[in-house]
Amino acid sequence: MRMEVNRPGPFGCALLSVLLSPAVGATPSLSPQIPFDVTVTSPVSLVSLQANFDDLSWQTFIALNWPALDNGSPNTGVTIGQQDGATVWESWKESYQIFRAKGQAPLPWNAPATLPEACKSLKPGRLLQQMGKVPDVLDEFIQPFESGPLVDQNGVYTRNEIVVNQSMFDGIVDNGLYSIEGQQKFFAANPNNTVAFSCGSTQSQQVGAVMVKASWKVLGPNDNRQAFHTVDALVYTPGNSDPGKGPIVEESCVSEPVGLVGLHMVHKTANAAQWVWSTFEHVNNVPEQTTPVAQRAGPYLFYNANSQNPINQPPPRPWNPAVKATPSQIVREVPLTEATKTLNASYQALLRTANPKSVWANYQLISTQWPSDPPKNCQVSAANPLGSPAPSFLANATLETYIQGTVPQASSSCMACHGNAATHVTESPRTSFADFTYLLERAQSTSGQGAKQ
Amino acid sequence: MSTEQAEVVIVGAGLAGSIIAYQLGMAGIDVLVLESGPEIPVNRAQYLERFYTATLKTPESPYPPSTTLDPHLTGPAKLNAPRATIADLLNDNWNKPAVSYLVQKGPLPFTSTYERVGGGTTWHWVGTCLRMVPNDFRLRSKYGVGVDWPIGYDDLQSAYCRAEAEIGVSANVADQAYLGMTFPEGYAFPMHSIPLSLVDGSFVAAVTGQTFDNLPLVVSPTPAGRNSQPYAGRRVCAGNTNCTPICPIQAKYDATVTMNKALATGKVRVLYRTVASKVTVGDDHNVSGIEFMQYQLEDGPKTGTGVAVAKRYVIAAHAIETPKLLLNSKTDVWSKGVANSSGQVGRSLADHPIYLAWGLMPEGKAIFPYRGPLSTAGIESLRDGAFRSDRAAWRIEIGNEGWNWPAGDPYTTVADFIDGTNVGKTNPSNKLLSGTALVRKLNDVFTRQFRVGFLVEQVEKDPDHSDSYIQPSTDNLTDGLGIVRPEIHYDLSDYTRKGFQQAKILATHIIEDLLGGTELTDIIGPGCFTYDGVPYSFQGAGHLMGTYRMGDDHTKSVVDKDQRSWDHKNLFLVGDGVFPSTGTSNPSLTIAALSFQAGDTLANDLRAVTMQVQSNKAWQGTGVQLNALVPRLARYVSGQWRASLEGGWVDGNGGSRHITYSSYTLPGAAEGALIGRVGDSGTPFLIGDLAQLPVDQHGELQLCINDDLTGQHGAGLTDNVGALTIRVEFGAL
Amino acid sequence: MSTNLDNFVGLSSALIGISAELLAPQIDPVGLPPIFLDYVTARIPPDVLNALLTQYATLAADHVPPDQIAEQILKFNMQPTIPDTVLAARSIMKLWLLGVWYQPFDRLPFKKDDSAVVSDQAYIHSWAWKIAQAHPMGYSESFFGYWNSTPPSLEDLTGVPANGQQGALS
Repeated sequence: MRMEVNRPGPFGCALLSVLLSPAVGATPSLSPQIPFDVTVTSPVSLVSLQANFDDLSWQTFIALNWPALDNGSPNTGVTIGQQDGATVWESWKESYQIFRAKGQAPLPWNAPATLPEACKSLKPGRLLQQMGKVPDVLDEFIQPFESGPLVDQNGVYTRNEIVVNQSMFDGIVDNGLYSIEGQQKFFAANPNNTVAFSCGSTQSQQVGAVMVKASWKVLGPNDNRQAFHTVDALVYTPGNSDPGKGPIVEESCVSEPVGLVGLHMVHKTANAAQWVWSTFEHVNNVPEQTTPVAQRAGPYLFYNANSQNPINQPPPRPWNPAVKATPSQIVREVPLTEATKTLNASYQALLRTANPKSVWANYQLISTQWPSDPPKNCQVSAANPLGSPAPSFLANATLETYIQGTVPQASSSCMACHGNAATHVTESPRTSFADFTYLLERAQSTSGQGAKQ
Repeated sequence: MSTEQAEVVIVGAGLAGSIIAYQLGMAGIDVLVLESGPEIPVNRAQYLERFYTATLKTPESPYPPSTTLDPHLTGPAKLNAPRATIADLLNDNWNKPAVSYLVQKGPLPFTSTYERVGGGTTWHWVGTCLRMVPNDFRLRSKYGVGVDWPIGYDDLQSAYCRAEAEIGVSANVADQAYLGMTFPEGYAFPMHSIPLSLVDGSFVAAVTGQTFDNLPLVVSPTPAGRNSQPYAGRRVCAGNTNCTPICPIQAKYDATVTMNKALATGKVRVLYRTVASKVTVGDDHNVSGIEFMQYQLEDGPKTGTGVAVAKRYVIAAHAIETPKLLLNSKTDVWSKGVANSSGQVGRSLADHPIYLAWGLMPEGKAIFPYRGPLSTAGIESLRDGAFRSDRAAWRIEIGNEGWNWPAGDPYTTVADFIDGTNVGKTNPSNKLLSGTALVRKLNDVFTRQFRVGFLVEQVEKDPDHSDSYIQPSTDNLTDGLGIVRPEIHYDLSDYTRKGFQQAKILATHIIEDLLGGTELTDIIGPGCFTYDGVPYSFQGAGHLMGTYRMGDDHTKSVVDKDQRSWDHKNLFLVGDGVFPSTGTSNPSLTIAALSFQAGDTLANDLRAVTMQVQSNKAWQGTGVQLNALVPRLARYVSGQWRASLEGGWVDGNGGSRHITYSSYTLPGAAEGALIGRVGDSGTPFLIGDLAQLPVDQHGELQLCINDDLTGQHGAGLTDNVGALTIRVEFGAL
Repeated sequence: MSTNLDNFVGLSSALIGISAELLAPQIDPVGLPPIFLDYVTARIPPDVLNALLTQYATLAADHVPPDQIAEQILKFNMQPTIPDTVLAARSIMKLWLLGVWYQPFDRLPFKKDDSAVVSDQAYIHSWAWKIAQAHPMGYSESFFGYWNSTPPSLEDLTGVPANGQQGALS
C-alpha cells in the first residue's frame, strides 16, 4: 500500500472554497482593484501556488500603480500607463507622517503632508526622507545588519520611503501605536491586546493592511526619463551628528526628479497571517550573477560592464549623500526563475496594450514570498511562527542589496527578518510582537527623550 | 617597506581598540588601526554558513582562519594570523605544537581562546556585562591575597555607565546593586532586564531562602550586551541560543558596531591582514614605530611589510598577543622586551577556570532548555565574602543550553539511543530505541537537562613571581609570517583549587538537595587537576587576563592607572591584560570602561586645551566646540584671581559672597567663581574647580569670572586682578 | 507503485517516529527528502539501500505499524557484526534528527565515522531540537521573551504525544 504522502493542506481547503465561489480574476487583467487574497488554482502544488501568488503580485502592482485622482482613489476613467502620473500608493501615508517627533498624533488620513523646515521653500513635490542603506538601518532606523548606501552610475545615493494604506494607518492610529506611551497603554489596557493588522479576505471583499517600500534613483541629465515612473520629489536628508544613529550629515532638502527602481508591496490576507511579500524592480537594474560576465550587456542602472570594482560591496565609510561616491557594482545573486520571467513577459505585454511605451512595462516581478503553511484564523502560531516561507529567500537588489543570498538568517528573507520586528514594549512575546513591521520601532516618546536609538 | 603615519596607531580592532578609535575619531584625531585578521564582512553570511555546516560548533567555528578541523590545514606554523582554538585542545593535542598554536608547556593546559578578526573576540562572547564588585579591586588589602588595583570601583563608575551605553546593556539597577556595587542617582541601564528562562525559574524556586558559607543564594538576572528593546538600530533578541559562537541577527553587541561608528567619523583608517611584528623604541625611550607584515591568504606568502609611525601608540591585541609582541620586540637595549623593566609583561596569565556541573531534573519536571539566550541569570551573591582570605571566589552562570557544553548534546544522546551506547550517561542499560519511543525518550531527557558553570577567580600564590605566564616560544616555533609563537606556562594555585572544592560541594548540594535532581558531573578533559585527593575538571571561560597589569609601583607593574606604560610615555596598553586581579565577572564590560578612560587620556594628551582665563575680561572663547557625544570636563589647574577686594583671592570655586544682581555672569553663584556657557547665547552654568560640560548644547565653550559684567554696581571687571589656568579636557565625572 | 523517494520518506518516518507528512509535506519549499536520498545514495552501496527500501515497502504493504517496521529493520539478533543495513538505517535516523551524516561503514572515498553537516538547511530543519520542544541553536523563528513561557507541546511540534504529565517547574 502506498503511504499517503499527500495531505490537503490549507491551500487544499482554499481550493475548495474557490471552487464554490465565483471565479475571481483568474486571467491577468489591467484592473485598479487590489486583490483581496490569492486565487488558488488546481491541481495544487508548490509550483502552482507560487504562480498564483505571483499573479497576485502583478495584479497588486497594477492596482497600486494605477493613476490616482486627487483624493487617492484610482482614476477608473483611464488605463494604467497611458500617461505616467501620480499613483494610488503615492497618496498613502508616509512613515515619517505617522511616527512623529515627541510621539505626536498623526494628522488625519486626508490631511496633506507636513514638510520639514528645510523643504518648505522648495517647489511642491513628494518628500523622500530616507537614504538607502545607512549604517544600522535598512530604512531610516532599522537594519538587520549594517548594509550601506546604493550608489547609481552618477555617484548619487538612491532614496527610500515607506507608506501604508488606510487600513494599516487606522490600525496604528486607532490603537495609539504611533508613540511609545501609546504602545504601553495599548498593551496595558487588556491582557489579550496584540498587534494584529487587518487580514484581507475574498469572503468579506476587504483589502487588508498593505505596506509599501519604494526605492528611487535621482534622474540625471543622462538618464532617460521615459524609461521610469518618475516623480518630482523633495529629497530630504535629516541632519545627524551621532554616528550611532547613522552617518554624520548636514540637513538638506533638494527638489529633484526621481525614477522608481524598486517596489516592495506587502499585503496581509486571510491565507497569509505572515503577509504576502511582493517585490518588483526596474528591468535595467542589475545583471544576474549566473549570466557570464561577457554577456552582461546592459546598460544597467547599478552595474558597469567596464568597471573592475568589487561586486556587491558597499562603499567605504564614512557615508555622506552630499559627496559624490563610487558607483555601486551590483549583481543579482539569486536569479529569477524561468516561470517568473515568462509571467513577467506576459504582464509587460499586457501593459503595452494600453500604451506601447507604458513606463510600467519597464518593471519586473522578482518573486513573491508567501507562507506555505499559514495558520488558521490569520493568527500566527507558536509552533510555526513563520509559516514555512516559500521561497526561503527573497531580496530586491535595490533594497536588500548587500544581504542577498541563501544563508539562513544572514541572507534576505522577508518573513525571517520581519519576524524579528518588535514594539517598544518588550515585556512578553505578546507585547513584543509587531506583526511583521519594523515601523512600530519608530515610535517616539511624548517626553521627547526619543526612542532608544 | 611602506610607512604609514597617523596621530595614533592602535594595534587590534577588537573591543578596546574600537572604543578608543571611536573616541579619538570623535575628538578629531587621526587614527590608524592595524588588525591582524580579515575585514569586518559586509554581512554575516559567510560566518554563519561556516557555523551551520561545522560538525564541531566551537566558539571559533564561524571565524577564520582555519582550524585543525579543516582537512586542508597543515598546522599553525603555516597560518599568518593564527590563534588559540578549542580544536587545538582535542585528542590530547593541547601540548603538541604541530597542532596547537599556543606552545603549551603546562603543567596544566590553558583552555581559553580568542579571535583575530575585525571586531575581535566580541564576535563570539556570550554578552555578559557584569561590573566588578568593589572588593575585587582590593584583594590584597582586604583579604591578604593577590594584588590591589591602583583604582577602585568608584573610579570606574562613570566609565562603566559609558560602556553600558555604548554596548547597550539590558539590566535593572534594582537587581544589580549587591555586594557594594552602586550606581549614580537615578541611573537606568540603557534597556530593561532580559526575561528569565524556565531553567532559571527552577533555580529561583530551589535556592530562594537558602545559604552557603553563611551567604544567601540569590538568582539574579545577568546584565547583558543583548537587546531587550530595539536599540541603536539593532534587533531585539530572538533567543537563538547561540550567543557563543555567533548571534545570527546581531541582537548581541559586538565591536564591529563601535568600529563602524569610528569609521563614520572620517578620521579612522583600518589596515586589515596587517600583523604588528615589532615595537621599536628610540633613544628618547619613546616608541618610535610599530613594524608590521601583511598577507592576503590565511596561509599564503607575506605580501608586504611596513612601519606605522605616530605620536601615540596603543596596543589592544588581547592578553596573549600583546605581551607576545612586546617580548618579541626585545633588543640589546631593551633586553627584557619593550615596556618590561618590571619583568611583569606576560606574567600572571589568568583565566576564569570554570567548574562545570550538570544534571537532570527529576522525572516529570521538564524545564525546557535549549531556549533563550545562552544564559540569562546567575547566582552572584557569592562573588565576595570573608572566605576570600582562604579560597577563591566564584560566580555561578546558569546555562540555558542543556548539556550542549558538557556532553555535546543533542548529538551525544541521540547517538546513545540509536547505537545503544551510554556516552552521555542517560542510557545505562544500553537501550536501542526507534520510532515514537525514541521521540518520547529523547524528549524526556532533553527537556530535563541543565548545566551550571562556576567561574572561579584565579589568584597566584606569589603574584610577583607567577606560575602562569606567556613568553615567546623558547623552542623558536614560529607562525606563517615567521613570528615567534606564544609559549604558555599555566597552573592553578591551591587558593584557586580550594575554590573548586567549594564549588563542587555547592554544585552537588544545589543539584541533588535543592533541585531534587540527579547529578551527572564527570571528569572531561583536557583540563584536569587534583586537590585534596579529589580530581576536578576545569574549562576555559574564554577570559584571558593579567599579562601587563596596572599598578602604582613601576617596579611591579607594566602600566600606570591610566594604562600608560611606565617605560614609554607614548605607549598605552589596553584590554584585560591590565587587570591586576580577575574578580569573578566576565571581563568585557570592565575592558570597555577602562578603554573609555584610556581614550580620554589619549585625547587629552593630544587635544586638551589649557588656557588662561583673565579676571578682567568678560566671556573668553576656548576654541573648543562642544557636541553631545564626547563628554568633556573643565578643570581648574592653577592660579588665583580676585573679583573684589572684599572677596579676596580665590580659585575657580570663588569666594563666600553670593551676589544675586542680574548683571552678574551667573547671579546667585559665588563671586569669583568660574562660569561657562556654550555659544554667544548659551545659558551660563557654574564650573567651579571641576565640572562636566553640558552634553545637550552645540557650540564653542566660553569662560568667564562671576562678577558684575556691566559695572552697574561698581567697578565691574575693571578692578579685577589675576587669571586662572583652566584645562578643557575629555572625560566624564 | 511507490517511488524510491516515497519509500525513503516512509522508511525515515518509521525509523524516527515523525510522520511522513511532516518530513515531506505536500507543499515543501525546502525540499530535503530528495536531497537526503541523493546524499545517502552516494554513500551506501545500492544493494544496502535497496534492501532497506524493499524491506520497508514490504512491511508497509502488510500494514505493519510504523514503530514495528522500525524495530524489524533495526534488529540484528545479537550478531557479532551489525549488518550494513542496520548501520545505514541508524545513519539515516541521525541524518533527519541532527542534519549530520555519519558514514556507517567504509565506502570509498568515504570512511567509517566520517561526519559532515549535509547543508545549512539540513541543520536548521533537523528534528532533535523540535523533539526537545526547542529549536536548533543558531536558528530561532520565535519572538522576544518566548523563553519565559512553556513551549508548544511535543505533539504540536512533532505529532507525537508525550507520555503522561509534563509540567514546567514553577
